[in-house]
Amino acid sequence: MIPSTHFLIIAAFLFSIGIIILIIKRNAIAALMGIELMLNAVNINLVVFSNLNRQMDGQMFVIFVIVVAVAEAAVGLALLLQVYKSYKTSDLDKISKLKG
Amino acid sequence: MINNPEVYFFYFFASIIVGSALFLLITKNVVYSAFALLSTLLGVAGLFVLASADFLGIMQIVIYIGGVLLLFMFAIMFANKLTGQHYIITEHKNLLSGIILGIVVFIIFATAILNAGYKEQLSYYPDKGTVSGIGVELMTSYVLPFEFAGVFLFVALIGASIVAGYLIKDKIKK
Repeated sequence: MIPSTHFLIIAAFLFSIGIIILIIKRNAIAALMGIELMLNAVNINLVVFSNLNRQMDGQMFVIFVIVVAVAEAAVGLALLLQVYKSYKTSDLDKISKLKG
Repeated sequence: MINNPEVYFFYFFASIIVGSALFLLITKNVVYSAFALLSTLLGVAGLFVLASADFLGIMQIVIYIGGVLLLFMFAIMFANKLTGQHYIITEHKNLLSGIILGIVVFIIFATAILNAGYKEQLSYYPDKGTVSGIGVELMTSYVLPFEFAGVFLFVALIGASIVAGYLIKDKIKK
């Protein structure tokens, strides 16, 4: 029997680490990794409350979250390759053509 | 309090998650951070199994570690060739604001969790799988989202391969 608070604290830790990575890393691939970490933290919360409720709904939602995360990673990395092709860099600060 | 074996496993996986997430935060090499992401997701899969969601743990390993990490490695290698560097070192900017925001978010979440008063303990059923339950749910009450997820993945696959495919075609022409 594991206290559910410990799971939730781990998920909150993972979410805040994802936010820090998303803000401080200047490589676009590393920023996508931060987004993946945040999605996983949300998944942990959904699984924990699905277990506490004795119902399957949370786990079903996690399946769809994983599907959306995979599609997001695939499309994001494909777009990133095109950005590399035109800018020859991965630095998010240097991709600033739309800046006024 | 600690008298069941799954508590030890929980702290094992939790230390894997915390350690590799911190390494993913402080490292500047993108290849290293891809492997740190791998071990973080492995720890999350372990937590899924401990929360008696065994199918989701296996799905996490197969999809994230088998698929998404391979995709990340491919993207890193492609970017590597185009920029002409031998390995990718990323920069850390906005350090102060990022760390302050992260710590504040963590403190807000932690106080909310600790004050919510969840006294429940997670129940762990080692002899009861969730595969048949998930299959029944997918085919009865979640059949429309399930089909929609299939179409969505198909659209994303075609879009990603077309967007990235032009790049590879141009490289072959050169």
